[in-house]
Amino acid sequence: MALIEVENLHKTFRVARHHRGALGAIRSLVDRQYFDVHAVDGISFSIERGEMLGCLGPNGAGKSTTIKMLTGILVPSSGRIEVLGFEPYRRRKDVVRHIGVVFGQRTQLWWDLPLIESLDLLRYVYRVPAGRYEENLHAFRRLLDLDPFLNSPVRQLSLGQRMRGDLAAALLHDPSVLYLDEPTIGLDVVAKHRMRDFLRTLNRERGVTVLLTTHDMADVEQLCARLLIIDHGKLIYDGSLEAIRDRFGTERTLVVDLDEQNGAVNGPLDVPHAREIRADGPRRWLSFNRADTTAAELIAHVAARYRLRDLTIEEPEIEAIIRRIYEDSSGISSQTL
Amino acid sequence: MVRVSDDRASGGVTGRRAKDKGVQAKHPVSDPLALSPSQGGAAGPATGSGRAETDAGTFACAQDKGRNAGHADTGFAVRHRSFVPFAPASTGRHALHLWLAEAQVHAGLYRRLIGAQIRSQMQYKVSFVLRMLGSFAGNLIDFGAIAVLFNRIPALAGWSLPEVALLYGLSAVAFSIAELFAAALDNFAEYVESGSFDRVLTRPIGALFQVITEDFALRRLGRLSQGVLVFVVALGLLDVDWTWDKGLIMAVAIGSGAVIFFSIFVLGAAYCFWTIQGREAANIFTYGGDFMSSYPLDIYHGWLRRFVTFVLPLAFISYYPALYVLGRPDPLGLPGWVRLLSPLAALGMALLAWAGWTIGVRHYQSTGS
Repeated sequence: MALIEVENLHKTFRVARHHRGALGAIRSLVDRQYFDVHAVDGISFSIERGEMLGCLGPNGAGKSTTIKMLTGILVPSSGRIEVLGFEPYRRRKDVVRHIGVVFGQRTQLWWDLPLIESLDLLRYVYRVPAGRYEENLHAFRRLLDLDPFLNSPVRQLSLGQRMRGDLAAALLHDPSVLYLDEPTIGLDVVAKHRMRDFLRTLNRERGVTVLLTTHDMADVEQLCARLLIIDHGKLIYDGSLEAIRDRFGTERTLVVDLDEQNGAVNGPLDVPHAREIRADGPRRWLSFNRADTTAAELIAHVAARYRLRDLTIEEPEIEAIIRRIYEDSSGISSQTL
Repeated sequence: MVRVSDDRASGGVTGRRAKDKGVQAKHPVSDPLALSPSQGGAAGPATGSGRAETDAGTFACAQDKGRNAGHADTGFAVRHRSFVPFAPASTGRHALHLWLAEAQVHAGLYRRLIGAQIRSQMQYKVSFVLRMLGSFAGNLIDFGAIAVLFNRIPALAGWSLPEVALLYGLSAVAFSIAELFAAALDNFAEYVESGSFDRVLTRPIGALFQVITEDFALRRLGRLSQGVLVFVVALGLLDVDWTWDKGLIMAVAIGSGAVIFFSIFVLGAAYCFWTIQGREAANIFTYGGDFMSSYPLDIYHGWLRRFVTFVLPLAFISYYPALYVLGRPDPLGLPGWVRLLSPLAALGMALLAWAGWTIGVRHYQSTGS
């Protein structure tokens, strides 16, 4: 049995429909109408111990709602969730003992207290044995470099420092699962790098299962072997990053620099199975589909017709691929509506 | 089999298998990580059931494994913290032990959390002292207004100044004790709105317990001392033949009153799960309640008197205990034993508050707002 199992999960919110205008506010009081928002609409997946997953999706796609149901904050409308063999909303206290949660935009720490005091209080909240607490604190102080601000009140910490403190706070009780909601949001390049390093170490050395939501593709590329993409409350992709490139990243781009010593080439280049998508003087961008032709064939065609000085092939950026997937899925759902 | 603990192999208590859903894994309340206030939280509490010892063994075992396994060089050992199995409580006595151990743990935790809050408040000493003095002076003026009123009139609905001061003192003391503990509930709407309540639900202790430990309004000590002052002065001025039962009634009234006010704070907070305007509604009953119970009920209209006697038992905070002590007749004509019912009213309010809170949390969990 997997560590986390989610089966046909639904969460529907009833939202009051507001009437417009000044009279509308009064009308809303007497004549309340509701409509349903399907925040999570039939999601199933399972996660094994020790996995590290990235969860992607546009704002309002249902990622946070899903995580909230996994932690027991929200009760599902229907469907089944099991985390460590428990239904989180029925056995909230039992489940949360074994999970760590970090919300990127909110802190778990006591705002006015020095960081070390927050950590010390959490030791009692989670009932961590003294010896284990010392071990963990020692390890995190080193790995997250907490010492410079261990005695500063949390409100005085920079965002990067606070996130490090939050990570330590979420891990003191040796959770089996760590949920991270946008852990790198607002962090600078160095802080992001440090955060990712830490998560990798955590996953490798402690076997902590990590589920993170993010908008930063670099998080996923550098950390996660597996990717979940959620949109409109549905799981639209569950698999590896490579597979997604193979499946959706079929459009590649050949960039050529023409040799225009003997006169400029006018108009777009005319090559079979490719179309020019951009031109900047002698530099031309040719888009082609892997299914239609190979890069070698295309280069041969171009070289046969035009004099070239240089060329490169651009792989599709993962971000562009994801954007296409979102666009496709909104196309699908608007058709079905 | 992800949740099979390593303990089985190492001869500890049997690990719980994933499919054994019939056996509810409970975490030992008396495990060695438990807070034992008397022992600085280092060792297991002294509620020495055999169970606790077994669990301690398991934990020690798991810890040793953690230390020895794998990456000892990094001090970052691989360790799957397993569920510590725990048999369901089989006897009532056992359950009582568990309950007591749990209560002890929470008391220790409360002291720690509140201690931390007070330390952080003390970072602003001047502000703290000024606020305390301000609340003391402000409330004294509040009572001064009543005293001035008695310059003009000899009695209020047949109640003399010392008698009204007794009501006022009882209510003020009960209210400010409740306020000390319930200060965090005062801006609970913002707490819910900002999403802070999500954090509460991701921790393995009770939600209400966590919320009330977010603040301890030591600054309200100003109000408490004012209440005590008025109460003591009233006791001095009253011509009452003090017997032990009257003293007991006073003490019980203050305790019950504090519970009733605290319950109203909790109900007001629970209402915030539905609407962010909950605070205003709650203030009517908390501050309004304090105001009402500072005066003899005789001055209110009949329906209001019945409301605060039978529906929202504000009358049991100061009025009925005062009737008992002063030996005055009851304008509602209720039998004499009604004056002893303050603890019962407090219990009823506490249960109501608990139910309201539980329903509120459930509502939050299904709507997320």
